[in-house]
Amino acid sequence: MVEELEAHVISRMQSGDHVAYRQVLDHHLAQLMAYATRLTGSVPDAEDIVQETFVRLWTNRQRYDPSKARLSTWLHRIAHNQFVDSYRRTRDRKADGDEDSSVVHGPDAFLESATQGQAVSQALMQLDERQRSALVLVHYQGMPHKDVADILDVSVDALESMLRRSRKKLKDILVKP
Amino acid sequence: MNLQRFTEILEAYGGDPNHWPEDERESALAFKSTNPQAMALVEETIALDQLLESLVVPESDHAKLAREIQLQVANTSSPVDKFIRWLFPERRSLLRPAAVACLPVILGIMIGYQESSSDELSLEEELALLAVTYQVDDFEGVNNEQ
Repeated sequence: MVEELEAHVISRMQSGDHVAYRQVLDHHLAQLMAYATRLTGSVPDAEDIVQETFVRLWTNRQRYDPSKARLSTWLHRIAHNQFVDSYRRTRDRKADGDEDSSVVHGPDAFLESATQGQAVSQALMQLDERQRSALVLVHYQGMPHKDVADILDVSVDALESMLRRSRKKLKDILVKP
Repeated sequence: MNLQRFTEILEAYGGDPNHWPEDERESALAFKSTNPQAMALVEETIALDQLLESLVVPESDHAKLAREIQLQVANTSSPVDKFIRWLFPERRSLLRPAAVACLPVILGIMIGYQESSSDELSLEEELALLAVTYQVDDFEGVNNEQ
């Protein structure tokens, strides 16, 4: 997990200092890109999410309260919301099409035709938006459970249930019995 | 900590203790070290963890993305924000603010020059004044003769 930036840098950014904003951008960009890329499976889609996240950080900078959450948590929350909006728009478009997105492919469909990493990426796409985000935040981003629960706007217990269902689904897809 | 709770932790968070709930990590580790069933469950869980670790994040051009973000941020700024940023560029030079501060002085000098220039008479105005002066002199001359 990325260490938090010094408080005075964040404070200067909130006052409208563009140099401080650039420091925040440079500090968090890689981490957010990794998160968004794992969520979407696509670099261009991830770049759109991250771009929108940082623009919203600037336009809403005075709404951020350092006493309530770390800046990285706040940024991940914005990115998560952007992802959810995008996911639902795509899902609604697919609902009109022929592809049945509820079908879960078994291990053979993935592992025979793709590298292991690609298989994992495709398996992640089988999770719904909240399960996917929960798993990426805990397993890949290594964020504290309380922070992840805040991002997803759920309790820690609900997060645990979500993770359990996510991992079970991935296991059914990826691991041969 | 018991086997049921330990299983729940593994099912939700995987086999890496760093991902386990912070307040239960120690007791879970202690339980695992003394319970063969727990150790077997961890081995089973690690198989999925290792698969998940094979997910590679493709590289992207972060510098280019950062520039695009800054450009978009600049375009969302209000006209006042843009003027202030133009006035106080990141180089922290005072040349631009000093030049802007001098503008009222320069404007004042220009207005003053215009005002003083307008005190000088044009040729037509001067001739008209001379004509009036001669008329007065002629009138006084007539009166004296009389």
